[in-house]
Amino acid sequence: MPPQYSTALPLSPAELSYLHTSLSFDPPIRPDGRTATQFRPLIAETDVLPSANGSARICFADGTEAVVGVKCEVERSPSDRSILRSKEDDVKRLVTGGGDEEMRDESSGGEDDEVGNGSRGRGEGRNEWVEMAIEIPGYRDDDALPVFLSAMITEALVSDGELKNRLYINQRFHWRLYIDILLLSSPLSYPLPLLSLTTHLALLRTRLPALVSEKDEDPHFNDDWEAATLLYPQSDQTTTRPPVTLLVMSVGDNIIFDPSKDELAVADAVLTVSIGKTPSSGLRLLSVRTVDPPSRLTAPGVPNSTNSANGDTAPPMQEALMLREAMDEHSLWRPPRGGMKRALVGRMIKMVVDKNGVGEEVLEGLEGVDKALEECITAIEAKDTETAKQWEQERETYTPTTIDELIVMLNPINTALNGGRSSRVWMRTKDDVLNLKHRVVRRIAASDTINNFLMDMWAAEVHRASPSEVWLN
Amino acid sequence: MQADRRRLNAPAGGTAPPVFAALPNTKLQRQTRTRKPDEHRKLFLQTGIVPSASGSAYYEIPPQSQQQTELLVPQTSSLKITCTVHGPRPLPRNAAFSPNLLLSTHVKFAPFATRNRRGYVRDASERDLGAHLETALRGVVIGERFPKSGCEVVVTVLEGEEDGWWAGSAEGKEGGWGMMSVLAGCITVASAALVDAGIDCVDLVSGGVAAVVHGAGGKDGVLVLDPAPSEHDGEIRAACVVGYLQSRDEVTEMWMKGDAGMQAEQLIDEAVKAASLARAVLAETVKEAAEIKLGKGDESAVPVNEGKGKSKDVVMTG
Repeated sequence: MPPQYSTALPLSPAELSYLHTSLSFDPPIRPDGRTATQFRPLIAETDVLPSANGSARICFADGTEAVVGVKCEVERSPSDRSILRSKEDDVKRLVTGGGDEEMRDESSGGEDDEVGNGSRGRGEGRNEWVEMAIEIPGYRDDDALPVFLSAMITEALVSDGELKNRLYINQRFHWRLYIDILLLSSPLSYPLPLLSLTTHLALLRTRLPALVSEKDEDPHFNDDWEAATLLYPQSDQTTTRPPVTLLVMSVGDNIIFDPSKDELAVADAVLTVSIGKTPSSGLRLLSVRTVDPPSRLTAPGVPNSTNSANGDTAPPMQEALMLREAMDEHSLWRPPRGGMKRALVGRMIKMVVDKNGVGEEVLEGLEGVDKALEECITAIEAKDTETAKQWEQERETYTPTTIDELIVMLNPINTALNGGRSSRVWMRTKDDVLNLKHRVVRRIAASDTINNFLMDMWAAEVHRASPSEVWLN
Repeated sequence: MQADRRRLNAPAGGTAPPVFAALPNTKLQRQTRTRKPDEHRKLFLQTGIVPSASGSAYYEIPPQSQQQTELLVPQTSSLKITCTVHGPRPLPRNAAFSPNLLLSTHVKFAPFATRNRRGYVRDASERDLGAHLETALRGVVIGERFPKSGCEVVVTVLEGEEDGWWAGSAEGKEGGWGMMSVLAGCITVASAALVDAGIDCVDLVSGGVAAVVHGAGGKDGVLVLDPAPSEHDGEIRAACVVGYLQSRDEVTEMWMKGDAGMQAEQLIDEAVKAASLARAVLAETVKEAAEIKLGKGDESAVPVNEGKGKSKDVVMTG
């Protein structure tokens, strides 16, 4: 259901037919001239919220913006309230208590577990420990869109079964992960890819305090935030990463990625595909859902033969209906009927999951964001003024039209606030600071199909100017 | 919290169904799947059960075999879904103009539908199911023939499929696989109710569900049709629900969850097979209902005193 104050004008049948026809050509002609697998440029920022365990902010090229904050809290695990406890028997114990979940895996649990020992093998965590809330302006919490988006993103997150195990502390306590997603702009287009990418980045940077207590005693954590461990550890053996959800649409036989609002309005079929990385550095499919294309809600065009504005009389309704049915689809706009062909679904999924496919590209691009942040932090710590100068020079010679890259904006001031690292390396004079505007621009070489141009960051820069004043004495 | 003195309240600590202690030497055994991997459970489908609605249908997967145990707890759950369709009816006066039929779907689990009582308020998973159902039905309904109208599809799940074996570990119940069987049933029953209501549709949409289950010892999963999650406690790796239009060979709704690996396409094909099997039952039901409505049933030798709802079993063919 669209929000009440939406002022977007619906597209007329002529516009819809124009868009549909141009997208059905081979190769498809998109309104902004991109290729079918080209993504729009975006600005990504991580660690924007100093009081959250992890956070990220992404701005898309069409002006939509999202912020995600991840917070973790220690929670007491409900104790096992079974009335029959027998260590010898195989009888499953039944739990009393209103509304409680079924018994814990004391006797049944992995075959390698001792009965009644309390130790848990696989399956330590529970999926309920991840809680997600999506806030979209103009929609209520229980409207269809936020619920659907939240279900989709949560499903992908818990589907590999590993995240919940990292939230386990001991038998009595566990971490509860609260993921709060805020869409800051009004939902101009389907917000799923934006929200999912922002969640991915936020989770990538989420850190949990290091545990110093042992076994089952009350948990105590290391006060030093530097010792905090990442929720998604980056070791060489395992490349565990949070999942990413992509929106894929089809028009006729063409498959189009990262559709804009206009392109979605004429889609024949829309699919959301969630992908994750496997330890063997391949891609795996986590979940697929069809989305109802908004083209089904559009008005059909009126053919000239039945249009009374020409001066003739309009035929009666039955006849008009039959005339409209008999007309060729391509000459007049009609909302799509039926579903999508099975072969098409297979093709769409393949395009995302294949080696060197679109999915891998997106994940690599996001990895680049992460690496860039790491390098910036290391540079600050090493007081590497050389690199700083080099980056500054690069920034001076930066011209929008010649660059073919994904731009990542990092905020050293914020990281300094978070980690207590000194940011004085960058600030030589007040002028320097204001010129540099507290940014580090890191170039990331990306593959051919991610093609960007520089976005105007005025609003963001004005925003940042004031916190910097506080840091200068 | 202050006690509510105006009403007679339920017990403050909540209620739970009575749980009977088992004899010490009772062996609990999980029912395993005895059907073939491509065999569907028997379905029961009937339309026209709610006379005051424009269209209605009732769908049931009865328990297949009665397992003899000494416990009073029912071993397996069945699936019972009822659907009513109200419409097409005119939109309220202050509603904006809509050139197409405004379909609104509501899925609700009855509070007694699952082993743990659900509340009266619709929660997120039920709204999610409603969104899936709407996607499945919107593709099949010809909305442009009903401008300025709305149609309401209300699905009530009287008994829902469980997520895992009731006495199994809590881990076996993770994944929400029962919801997928429920969704497949909802699609089929809503389709029957839409036909009963006489709303223009492109084709009959039927729901089918298939799953990838851990094979015995092997790494490759086994593809099974119509999984009953209580039979595969914790072994389901991935599952897929489709809403399928057989005569156009198109899929209006697809929901795939879990890691299917290389078998993703085969999983979709299996789910389509399950949907085709369900469609055979659907088509037969709709045909019978049409015959009764058109009065042909009176002339042929259908004995009325045999009882309502008695019909021959339909063999499911793909």
